[in-house]
Amino acid sequence: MTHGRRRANLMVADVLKAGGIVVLGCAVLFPIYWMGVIALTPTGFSRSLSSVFPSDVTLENFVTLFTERPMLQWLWNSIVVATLSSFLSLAFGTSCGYALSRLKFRGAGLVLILVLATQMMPATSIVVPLYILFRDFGLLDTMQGMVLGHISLVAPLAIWMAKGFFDSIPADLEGAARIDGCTRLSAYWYVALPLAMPGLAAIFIYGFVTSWHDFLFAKTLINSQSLWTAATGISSFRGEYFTLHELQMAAALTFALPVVVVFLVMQRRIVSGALSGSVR
Amino acid sequence: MADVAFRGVEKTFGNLTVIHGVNIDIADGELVVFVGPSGCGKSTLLRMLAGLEESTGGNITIGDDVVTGLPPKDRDIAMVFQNYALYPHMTVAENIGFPLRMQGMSSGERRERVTEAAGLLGLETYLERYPRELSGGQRQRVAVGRAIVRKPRAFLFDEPLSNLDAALRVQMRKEVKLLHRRLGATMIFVTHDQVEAMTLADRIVVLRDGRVEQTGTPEDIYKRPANSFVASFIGSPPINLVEGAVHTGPTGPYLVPRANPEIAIQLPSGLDYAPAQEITLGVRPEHLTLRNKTGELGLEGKVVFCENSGQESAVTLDLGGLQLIASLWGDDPPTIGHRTGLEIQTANMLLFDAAGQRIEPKATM
Repeated sequence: MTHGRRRANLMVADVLKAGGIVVLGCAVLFPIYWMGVIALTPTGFSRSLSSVFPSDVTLENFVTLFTERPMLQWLWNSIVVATLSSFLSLAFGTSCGYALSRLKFRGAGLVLILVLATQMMPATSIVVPLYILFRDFGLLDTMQGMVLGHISLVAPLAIWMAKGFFDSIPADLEGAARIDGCTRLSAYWYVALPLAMPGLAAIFIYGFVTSWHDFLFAKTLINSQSLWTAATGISSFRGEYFTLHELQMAAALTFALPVVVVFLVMQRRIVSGALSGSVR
Repeated sequence: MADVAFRGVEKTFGNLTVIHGVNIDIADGELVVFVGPSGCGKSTLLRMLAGLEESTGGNITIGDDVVTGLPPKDRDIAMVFQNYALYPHMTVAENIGFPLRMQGMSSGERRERVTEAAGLLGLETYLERYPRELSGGQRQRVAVGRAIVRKPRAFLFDEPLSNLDAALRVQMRKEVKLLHRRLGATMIFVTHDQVEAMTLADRIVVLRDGRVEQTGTPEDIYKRPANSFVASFIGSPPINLVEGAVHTGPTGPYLVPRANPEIAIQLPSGLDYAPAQEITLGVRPEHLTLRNKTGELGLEGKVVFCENSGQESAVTLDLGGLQLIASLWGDDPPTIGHRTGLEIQTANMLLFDAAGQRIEPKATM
């Protein structure tokens, strides 16, 4: 094979590779783009769209969403539930994860397996017993109940993730801190916790996204419209005979933004190499 | 500074005992090295002294205080870890100053002490850097700086040089020795490297399977090992150990090696040998001399291997199945396959009984 032909073959391979990536990217991004297009189309006109580019762009759906619908309240409810449940899951997960990582006690392995087993249950299986339990404790249709429900979703994996992060921090670092004058607790505070920060950020994002996206618990445990989260609110645009697609897509776009913001804020904390230089 | 004592210290993990009633006394200002093969319990002993491992029996004292059961922070000791254990999210200055911060010292005084410690270790220009921006040797210096900054009662070193390259290890070894001289502090150094132990220690504690095999000065340990294990562990190239039975001939007692019963090795007189007593003869490689002519008992061997380190050659000789290593200094090493005469200096022979314990020469009246 001549040099020129080999070069031509390599070029064809590169073009095919780049083409493949573009197609894949389009497939992933197109639904989001289409959501944006419908959200910017005047109410009732999305069915008559004839091209992938909107001919008539308007923000009226967003205005309607915030003036005629309680979207702000729903978003606020989602923010409160997601923030509280992810913070509490983080606190619970890191405490348990740290204990399981550092303290050697009989049955630690069994505890870990049991924690994991709860994660293997589909949410649809536990929502009914949870409903009955919450009804008995008077937690139905309350924000506290929603937060608790979401903690039950997030905490098991948070424990596992936290244990993994603490396992990756050399125990000698805390040993050194204890010799340098720390108690077990202050060694955790000054050394283990700052070093686990990337992991904690990941756990927080996971908790926030899981809670933010939840529809099943939000729909089952909450009845009052004033306590709806945004996920339940979005579903309300679907009526018995028709669906307000433009409003629904505007709500969906608005619903997606806080998660992106949380991720952008927290991702700076998810840095690799936080431990480099500590040990050989 | 303070003396340190282990009294009947034990450590068990479930049914497994890893430290068996260890007794060690370390004087104030002494540099003692714990040495032994992997798994002998030397690091466990050090971690028990630091409070990072709980002892399951016995007592540990630092100065007049029994520290067994005290948390590490209340023992007033400093430790340098094998893997540096630097806080990666803190700068060099923050790392060195961390113990002072925990003592509640003011930032001004802290800065002064940190600068002083950094000056001692040549770290002044690195104070604002993070550990990841330092070389292995510099990181080790930071770890030492964090230890010396607060003037503890005892310094513990857990194999701190084992991650460094050979040249840096020699340099850091010298620096630890100089530091000890300068501070006059009680230091306990753990290593599996017998060269490190011999060059650093005021006294060496040789450990095996959680027991102290011998405690003594480097010279004692090398020249008068308590048993064949200590003799074989200390020294490079290793001591030649020849098992055999003692017989007596016209020239005095001699050893018939089990590996080659055709030869006889002259033994020192003045020791009580039982007839046909099974013993182990220990000869350091530097006490074997190669001769052109064979000696009185006609020892002769063939050169089968030669390791030349420049100034010294370790020559392995085969004496009909019995292999011995001889050290040659400065000479041109013999060629492989060359046959040579061999002389063993009886004055420097070490003899061990069947249990491996050294046979002491009889005191002359």
